[in-house]
Amino acid sequence: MTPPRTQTTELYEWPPTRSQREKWALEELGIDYSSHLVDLQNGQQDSGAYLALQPLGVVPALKTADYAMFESVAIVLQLIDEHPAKNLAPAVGSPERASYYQWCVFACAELDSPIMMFFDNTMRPLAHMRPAGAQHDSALAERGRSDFAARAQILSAVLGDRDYLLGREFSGADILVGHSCFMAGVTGLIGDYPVLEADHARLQQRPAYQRAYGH
Amino acid sequence: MKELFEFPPTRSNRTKWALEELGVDYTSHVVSLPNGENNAANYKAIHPLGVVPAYRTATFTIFESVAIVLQLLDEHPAAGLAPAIGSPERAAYYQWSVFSCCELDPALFDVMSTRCICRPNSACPRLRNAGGTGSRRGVRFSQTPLKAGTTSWARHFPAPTLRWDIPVTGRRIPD
Repeated sequence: MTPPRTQTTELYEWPPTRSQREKWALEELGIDYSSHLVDLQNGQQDSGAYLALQPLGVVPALKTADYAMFESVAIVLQLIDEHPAKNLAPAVGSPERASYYQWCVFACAELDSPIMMFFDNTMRPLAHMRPAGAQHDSALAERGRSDFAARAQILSAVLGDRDYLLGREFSGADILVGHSCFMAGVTGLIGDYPVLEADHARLQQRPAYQRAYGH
Repeated sequence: MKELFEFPPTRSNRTKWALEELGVDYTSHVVSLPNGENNAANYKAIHPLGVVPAYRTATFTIFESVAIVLQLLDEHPAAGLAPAIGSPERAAYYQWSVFSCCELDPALFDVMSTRCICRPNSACPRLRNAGGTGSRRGVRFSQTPLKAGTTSWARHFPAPTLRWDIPVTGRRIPD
């Protein structure tokens, strides 16, 4: 008799960075996983072992018995597809699936960049600037703020008349955009958008969110 | 009816290429960015950020070039352009699809917007910040030709992969 194959799912994370998206999705899906902390402050992300897994040296990365992958949005899409019974994504090929993809991509392609531009030029400790020695640039901070504003207004209009991005059902899109809103909360950018604040407060009530974010 | 809102050769070409690969019958609407058609109210009703591409069918309207391609490929499984849902290959497919818009585009757009489009004495903060913090994760550019290792994500790729030798022949976007 052969022993059952060990089904390990390994998350490489550094809370509360974007690896929280994977952690939140893993908790929502009830997946048994092990966590590896990649200490960004001490440069563990630039070690050869980690670069073999994530060649950019950023978190998150995910390793299973069958594959290893990176990109926070891609990992959440994949995990949710692997657990269709949890109903966190619309049926493949449906019109709802188009909206789902749109908001999932919107999180990383539209929201993350301006929030990080603002963070990097207002809140990032000077000792951790990239490249080393760079200073905060107020023009870039303002550009981050204004780019975020255009996108926050779009989200506010959508979420103003519904519970979740896709309507009445929570989905992976709420996880991905939800973490962008978490980042906007850390930077203070979300304060001008009460609809987004209220939406995020509702997401924070979810047990899986609380397990992932350590509330 | 399938409608593509595009302005070649921007990222709307991703969507156009996918439509052509799949043999989808579609109508093209050129949204002139130099003429500001992207900021007209009737276009912003389709794409609230006022950028291309957007895609409209009888049942839905979406934007984000990567999202549109993912959706189109799912709608045409017989074309075999996307691995099966839930397969390990699908993980790699998602990873590289997202990599294109979230890693490559910001880095390349930094270079393009500062070296190919902005005027030399532009007030563009990215240009003024040459060699400085860059807009994103240590991505930076210099006035010299781009070489491997100049960006954090580029360290692991050979120089020819990165060299931005494509002449920009498209219409110039004013500052």
